[in-house]
Amino acid sequence: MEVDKGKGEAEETRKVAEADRDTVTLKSSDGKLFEVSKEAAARLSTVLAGMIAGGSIDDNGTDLKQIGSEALENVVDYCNKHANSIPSAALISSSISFNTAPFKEPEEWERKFVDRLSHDALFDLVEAANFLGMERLLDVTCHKISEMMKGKSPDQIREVFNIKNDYTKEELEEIRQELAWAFYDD
Amino acid sequence: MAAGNLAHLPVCSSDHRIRDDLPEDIFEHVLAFLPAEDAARSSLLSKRWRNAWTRARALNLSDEHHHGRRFLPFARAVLARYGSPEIPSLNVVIGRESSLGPGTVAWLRGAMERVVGSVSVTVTAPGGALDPLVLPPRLRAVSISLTLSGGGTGSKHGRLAFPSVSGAAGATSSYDALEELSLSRVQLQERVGASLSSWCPRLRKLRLRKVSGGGGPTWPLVVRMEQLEELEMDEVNSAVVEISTPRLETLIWHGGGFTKLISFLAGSQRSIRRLDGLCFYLPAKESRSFTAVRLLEVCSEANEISARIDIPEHCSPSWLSREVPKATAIAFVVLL
Repeated sequence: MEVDKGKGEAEETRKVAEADRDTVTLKSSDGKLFEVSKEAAARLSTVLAGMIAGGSIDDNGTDLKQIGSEALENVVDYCNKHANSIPSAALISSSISFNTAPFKEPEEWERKFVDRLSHDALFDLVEAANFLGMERLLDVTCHKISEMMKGKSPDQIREVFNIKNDYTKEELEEIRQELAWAFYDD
Repeated sequence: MAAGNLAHLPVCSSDHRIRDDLPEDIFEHVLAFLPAEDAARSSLLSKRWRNAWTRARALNLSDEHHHGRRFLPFARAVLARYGSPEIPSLNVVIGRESSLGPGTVAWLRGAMERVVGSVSVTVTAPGGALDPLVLPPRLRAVSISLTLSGGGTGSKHGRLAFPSVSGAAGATSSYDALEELSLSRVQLQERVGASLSSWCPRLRKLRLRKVSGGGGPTWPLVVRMEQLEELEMDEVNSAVVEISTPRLETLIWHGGGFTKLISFLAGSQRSIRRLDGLCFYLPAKESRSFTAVRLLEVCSEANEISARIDIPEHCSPSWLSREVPKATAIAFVVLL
């Protein structure tokens, strides 16, 4: 959710005691302000948790110069959705949950959340999650990207992700031979 | 990362950035979700991707695409080319009997020694088993989950043993980093049931499913673990189970295959908050249901109990009203 504050006020760096507020205000690289639940921010982002604990949160909008407004909006949206989500059946099953799986499969709402994003928005969100130390969001977004790569040829992947092939033909052939064990014929 | 560092990082606004590739530092995250073959083939994309897979946060190996005896050469190649001596996470699924054998066991032992995070090994090959698996003398993994046999009619469990240690060094050997252990379709070799606690002293979670003992049904299982918080037992055919776990909060005991004698030591039953999965047939004179009733009694402090009890007409379960009222959430299915 975006907070409409005067530009001049937002520019000020004066700090206000944050301790009693339930939310924190984050400012994107392009100066837009977003409010997010303090509890969710601290739980989902190690960087925001550190800033909250260390008192370096600015009431007028904590500057996140590395994150554009679209990505920050998605981050805040994710935090709010996460705070309101109902635990899935897996969490209330009568079995112990272990950390041995690479990660817990995305919940239905998480899947929908990343599915609606454009490639650029998805990549921006990955970077924002990485920057803010949001482990779960990083997993969910990276898992989405891996699904876009799975079973595709190098040419197809390059096209999807706009990757420029900077190998010579000879280099490619050499790598292909080194990786013979990673190819199968069925 | 401290807030003070934020200012030093490059500013990249989506307004004027030309996106031509994924950010490099997330390659290793993305590749962790792919099968090892797909991850390795990403080397072909561009020079930036050349060695990214050798830093992948997880290696996922399966014999799905490797027929005959081709899994082992593939598995060896992955491990030989992975960049770091330390593997964050290793996941192995073996679905073909032809992929199993002493070579695969030896490979797995070597791979397990390199893992610093989690290990998951699942045999799904019908009638096949990783057998026998002697764990390496040193393990740094935090979480290990092993399903050593694919099940199916007449199939045997995979035998599991701790390494034999000799001399003074042996006395102090244990898997100190290990916090979570799950064993399925495993036959514990001699002394494993009794020495589990000394090998894995810091477990927080323990799950045993379809676990038998090598020396017949009289093998003892000793769970004496200071840190254990969650314990799940499912078809564990040990005759004598001793539990001494002062921090145990969740006890899940599935299936009818009850042990004949269960003993709680050091007041561990007092910490149990949740008892789940219990399902048994009462007349209490039968030794197995006697154990189940005993379990209900010792967990009387729990506030969440889920149990299904089949009670024939001639039984009067007076203990039900006596022991259970303390629980605030109880799900009983009692069939009369």
